[in-house]
Amino acid sequence: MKLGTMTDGVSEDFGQALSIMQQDGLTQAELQFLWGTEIGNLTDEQNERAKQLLDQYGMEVSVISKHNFMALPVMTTEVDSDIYQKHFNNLKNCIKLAKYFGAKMVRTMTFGKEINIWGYNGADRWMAGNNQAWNKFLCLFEKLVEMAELNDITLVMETGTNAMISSGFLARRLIEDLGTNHLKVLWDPANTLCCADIPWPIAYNEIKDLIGHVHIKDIKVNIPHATVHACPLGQGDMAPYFEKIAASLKKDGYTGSISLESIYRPDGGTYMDGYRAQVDTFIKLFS
Amino acid sequence: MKLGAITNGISQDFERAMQVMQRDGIGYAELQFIWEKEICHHTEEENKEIKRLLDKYGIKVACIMKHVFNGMPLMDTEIGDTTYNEQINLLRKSIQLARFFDTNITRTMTFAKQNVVFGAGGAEKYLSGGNKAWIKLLKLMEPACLIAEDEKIDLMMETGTGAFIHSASLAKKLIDDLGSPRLKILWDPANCLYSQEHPMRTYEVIREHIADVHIKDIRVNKPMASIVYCPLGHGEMGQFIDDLALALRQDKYAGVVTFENQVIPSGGEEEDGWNQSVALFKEVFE
Repeated sequence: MKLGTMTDGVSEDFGQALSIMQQDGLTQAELQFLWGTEIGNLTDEQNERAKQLLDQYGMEVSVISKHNFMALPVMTTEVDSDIYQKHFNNLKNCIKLAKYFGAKMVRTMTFGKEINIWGYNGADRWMAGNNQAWNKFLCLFEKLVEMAELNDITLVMETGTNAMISSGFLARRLIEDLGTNHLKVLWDPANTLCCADIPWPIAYNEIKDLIGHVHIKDIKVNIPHATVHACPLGQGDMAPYFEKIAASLKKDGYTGSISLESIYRPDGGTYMDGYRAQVDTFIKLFS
Repeated sequence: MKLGAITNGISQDFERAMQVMQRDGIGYAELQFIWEKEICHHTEEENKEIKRLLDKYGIKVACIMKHVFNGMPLMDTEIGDTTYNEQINLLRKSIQLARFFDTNITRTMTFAKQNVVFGAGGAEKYLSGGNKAWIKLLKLMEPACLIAEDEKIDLMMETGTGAFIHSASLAKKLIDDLGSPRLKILWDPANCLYSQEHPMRTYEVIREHIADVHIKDIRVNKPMASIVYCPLGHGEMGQFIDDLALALRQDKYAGVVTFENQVIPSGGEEEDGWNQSVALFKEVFE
């Protein structure tokens, strides 16, 4: 497995982030925010500078991770709407950037979460909007997949806390329903805890053949209180799963990359401090 | 305890619903949809006919159940927006109808759900949008509470699966933070199961704030985003209803406990679902 991190989880100073990654032996840079600007919104000069720095530190780019289609409401968004077209053009731009940086994957988010997608025995009417959201979602999403196929790039959808695809089951179902080889799962098992998914073995077995990329972080979740506390790897609700996930990925011959998504910031400290508090654990678990 | 029903959970034919409630000894009606039309959208003549039928069958109104603020995106809504003002006007209309139907309770929903509201340790930046949503909710709900206070009417917020207030814990926090004596809880413990909230542990926290209780049964699969309605006692609420009824009795709960039938058996109608559960509902809560 190839190990990396989202660079802004180390530092918004891109050169500093790459320098630290090099020191720690991480080779895969996931590009999300650089110098305080989201990928896709950098100037040509900044992109060139980013590429120079990647070459200087010997880093590969794993994923172009812009927040495409994040939180758009499924039932009120149409393909020909301005907001959809804006995100669609952003995705096109991300595909260009992927080719520029030599990355094989581009991230998309999966619109805003419809809490109950499927209801039965009356719940369809009263709690799931007559079960219309999934078909609408497929209509909105198939254009993204067509573009990925046309450009021969892999689109990875992140399992998000507040996204339409919030569990392993839903991710697998989307890929199956769209019937494409160009859509994979950006599996963030910690995020899926917010939807009560069980990362291993249940979710892992749903998606093990469909994983394009993995985010690793740890959090403590309280669903009825709507709270999430970020914490170092091994100190939150993901702790029981890390070793099992790592062992299964190795056993199943996963050849993709895994990113430490370092969102932890200790009290009174920085995100860099949070990164340092867990990078060794990350490498020990997944190398 | 006072037992009630959402009338459209029996029939959209209001007189049929009244007949069934009278037959089954259910004395309180929640008015939500009548003749396929939501409350607040009937003509004056229709409202008079509703009142006539209530009187005819000896049924009292528990509350007005308009879906005020239901599903609205919190962060994209501002006080003074056309959509916000429409909802405030509907709340005022609900209050007028509450007076007309001789009840002192009206319902509000609480905008659309955001899964992670409070982040900490770095999660506030990456997972909860800078923890801005709660403050926004307080700002948007405050005018509704002020109206309720001015009108001396109780405003009860329902704990909804897709609502910003999706658990009793959050409902209690909203009451604490707004400090309004008129804001109450329409507790739907089955809905809260979708947020993995244990009904009896939560009851202790909210019991002083309950204005109405919805009873129904469901089976939930959160990772699959699915809910199945089932007859009372056949789902995940079944294990809690006896303890819940006991707790309400011990606390001398004076409000209404409402059977919210939403089961529609295959090939059947709402009334068939009602008939599957009403006997157990009465046995447990009467």
